[in-house]
Amino acid sequence: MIASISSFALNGLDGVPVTVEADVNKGLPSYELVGLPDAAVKESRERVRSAIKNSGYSFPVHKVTVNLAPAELKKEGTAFDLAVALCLLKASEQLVTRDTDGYVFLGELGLNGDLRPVNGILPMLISARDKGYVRFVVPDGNAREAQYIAGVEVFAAKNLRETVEHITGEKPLVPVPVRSFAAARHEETEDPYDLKYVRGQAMARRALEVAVSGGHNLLLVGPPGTGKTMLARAIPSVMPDLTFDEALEITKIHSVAGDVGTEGILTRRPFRTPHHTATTASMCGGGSHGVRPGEISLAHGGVLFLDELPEYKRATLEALRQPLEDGVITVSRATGSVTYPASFMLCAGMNPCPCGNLGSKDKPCTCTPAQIRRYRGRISGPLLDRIDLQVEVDGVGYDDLTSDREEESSAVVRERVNHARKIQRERFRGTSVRTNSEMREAEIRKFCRLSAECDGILRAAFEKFSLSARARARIIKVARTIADLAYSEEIAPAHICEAISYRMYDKNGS
Amino acid sequence: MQERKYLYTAEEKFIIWLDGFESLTYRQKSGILSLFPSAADFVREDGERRAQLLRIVPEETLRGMLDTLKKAEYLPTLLSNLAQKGIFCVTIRSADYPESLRAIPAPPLLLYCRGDRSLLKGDKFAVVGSRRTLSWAQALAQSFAADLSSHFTVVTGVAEGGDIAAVKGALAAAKERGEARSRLICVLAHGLDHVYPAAHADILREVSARGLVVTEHRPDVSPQKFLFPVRNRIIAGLVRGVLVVSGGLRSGTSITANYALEYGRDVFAFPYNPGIPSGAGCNALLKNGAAPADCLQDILSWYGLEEKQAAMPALNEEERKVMRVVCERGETHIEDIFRDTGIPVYRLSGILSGLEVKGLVARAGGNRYAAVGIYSDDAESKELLPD
Repeated sequence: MIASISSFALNGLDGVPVTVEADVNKGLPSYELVGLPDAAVKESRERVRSAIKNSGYSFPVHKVTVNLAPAELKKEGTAFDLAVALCLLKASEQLVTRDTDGYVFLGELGLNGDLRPVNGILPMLISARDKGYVRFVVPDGNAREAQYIAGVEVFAAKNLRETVEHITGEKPLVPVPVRSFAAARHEETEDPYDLKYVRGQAMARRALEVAVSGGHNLLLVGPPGTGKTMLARAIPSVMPDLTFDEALEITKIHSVAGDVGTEGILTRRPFRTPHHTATTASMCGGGSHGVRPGEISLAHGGVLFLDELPEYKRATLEALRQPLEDGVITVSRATGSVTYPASFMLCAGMNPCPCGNLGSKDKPCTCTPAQIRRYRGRISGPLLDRIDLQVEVDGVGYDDLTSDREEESSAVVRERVNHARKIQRERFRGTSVRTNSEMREAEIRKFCRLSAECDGILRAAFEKFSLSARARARIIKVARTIADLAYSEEIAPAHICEAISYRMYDKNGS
Repeated sequence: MQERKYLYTAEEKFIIWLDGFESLTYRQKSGILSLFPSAADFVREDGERRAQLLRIVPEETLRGMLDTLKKAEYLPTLLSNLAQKGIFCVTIRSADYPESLRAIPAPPLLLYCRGDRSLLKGDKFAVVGSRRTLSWAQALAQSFAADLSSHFTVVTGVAEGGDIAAVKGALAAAKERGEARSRLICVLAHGLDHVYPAAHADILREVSARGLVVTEHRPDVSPQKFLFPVRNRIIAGLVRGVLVVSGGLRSGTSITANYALEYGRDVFAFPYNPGIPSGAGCNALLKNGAAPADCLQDILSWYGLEEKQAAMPALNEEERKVMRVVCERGETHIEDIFRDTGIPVYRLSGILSGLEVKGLVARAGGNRYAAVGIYSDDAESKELLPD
């Protein structure tokens, strides 16, 4: 007898409906699984066999063929286990009901019949809802992820038996209640990385504020142990609050990677800090088991912090250039290509020189000019060009560390950031540009008119520091953001001067 | 590069020919030259000449040398190879060989040059600094070189730090004055086929286009450590005075300064705070009688020259406040400036970068700033004057 059950597979961030078909025939007992399954899917046979037996049913001793349709799509992961088990029960007439229609079943089975959580529930649920599916059975462990999606009925089952009893109506389950995003936010504990815990560093704090306000990328240069990481960690806390749609989009990516936190949805902007040994594939996405989102996608909507920037492999850094411009990454493999969102703020940290003490007051730098040039040369000009603000972070004195002076908290800074973002939203209404950093030549001409005085300052700086045309455009964009923070329609000379001060690497001519 | 014809006298050709032998030392070459006051003497065929020469060079070498004389194309090839590279030679017997250089012990017999030959004439002044030069000293060296280049031909090297700052200053000053050529001579310690440091290839090309590049080495001689101190005698030999902008106790600049003292040149040095390693050499020179130079007039008045009074750039109230703090405190952290002036840091960073553009302050790293040169506050001094 033939039976079929609906399930879902993932292709990037999109769910694709998969129909699990089983045919139980007379013949020598055998089990054939077709439909381009990967190793994890093939292994489902043993899990399904044990789970069915240990749940009190019997595994059909017949010639069994299971097909995962559409057959040309490569199937990965363990989410089909539940659907395969149910399909076998149906085909062997142990489960006689038509009520499985209209349901989508997702979940991995344990040998004892328990349902285990799987990755990517959220994007699959969202895609399925958009395709008209309304009823789902998911593992209990995935319930928290499912609770933010309105318009669907999601049942969280603990094991195979519960699922069967729910379908047959013996012991119906209660749908997972819909929870509001606000409620999740309410649970949020205080951010341990608040700007108020950063002592001193007035220059860097200001640069950070400007960077977040205008969506600019930021480079922190300073000797080891001066607080570069601490500053970077505080960036998400000054970024505008997540909206529900943003949170959902970010959570989708993290769901595919299998980490959605305790609330089932990300309430804070992500902060990703891949180690400098990271490979290009781990950074941009890819991998041997299908195309997984990389660090830049996991940082989507948040911050990608690259500490010790010159230590990263050059190819890895160069791969960041295109996503930095486009906000998405398309990973192409022989098995297919997948597009993940990758719109992140890049924050990088580096030492001023190989020994780290250049510019330090107490410790002498022992590097030769050639060494310093080589060290800085490891970061390509085009990448550096995409980092609008470069600021020095320097050691904090003992007095600063112990003083009781309350530093400005992230909430206060965020208020100003929100305002500057609002100005930008109004300015760029109707265009694809969202922040000042995304302005192109046309927008710069339109929104960044320079007075004669500003132009004079810029010209003098251009000649004195032999700036590039690109650097000039970046200075104007940053000046625009500084003016926005000062509620100023016009870009004033002071704004231009401040913007120039954030291009320290251009000025040194390196 | 288009081949240019340079005309040489027989005397000059003789020295160019002589310098072409890799195996000859300076001592051997100058020995041969002193034996033969004119090239014609050398060409003369007699036994006496041979005996004299054998006292200086081994027989085998001599035979090789004399063989080249028999080849008709040897010397023309040598000359056209140089000309192809745009290199002209000034020999110790050339009319425009600088007199001051001729007077030093062991003057270079031959200068391979690229650029503007006329710069060999006229008064020269050296601005030299070590590779490790603080940013304010670099900025100051740059502005000194710029101003000096309107009175002197600036002589320096092309190393990082102090030297290249002087080069940039002299080049920029000429551009600012709208002059096609810069009064600038760079003396190299290696052949003109090479560039050291390689990062300065562009700037060196500009110097040979608008100023003059000079070396005593054949074009193929690669940079080597021991050649640099030897080069410094040429810098000291060319000039009337030397300004040392930076240098440790044992650095190349102190070698230049010692040569200069030995040759009776005037030595000036930037005064440094005690305890700055890159300025210890300067302070040691000052202790030994060098003249301190913290403004351009210190040098110009020594030679009876008058500084063209450059107006202090107009500053507003806040900028003056900041300048006063930076001048009083020396190298100052931006947060200390904030404490003294009360101007918030984000505004300060703008003000300071404006002052940097005007050439009044320089970044010292780690968000610290230092004043460049002496800042005279006209408005303030007027306030202090009694009515």
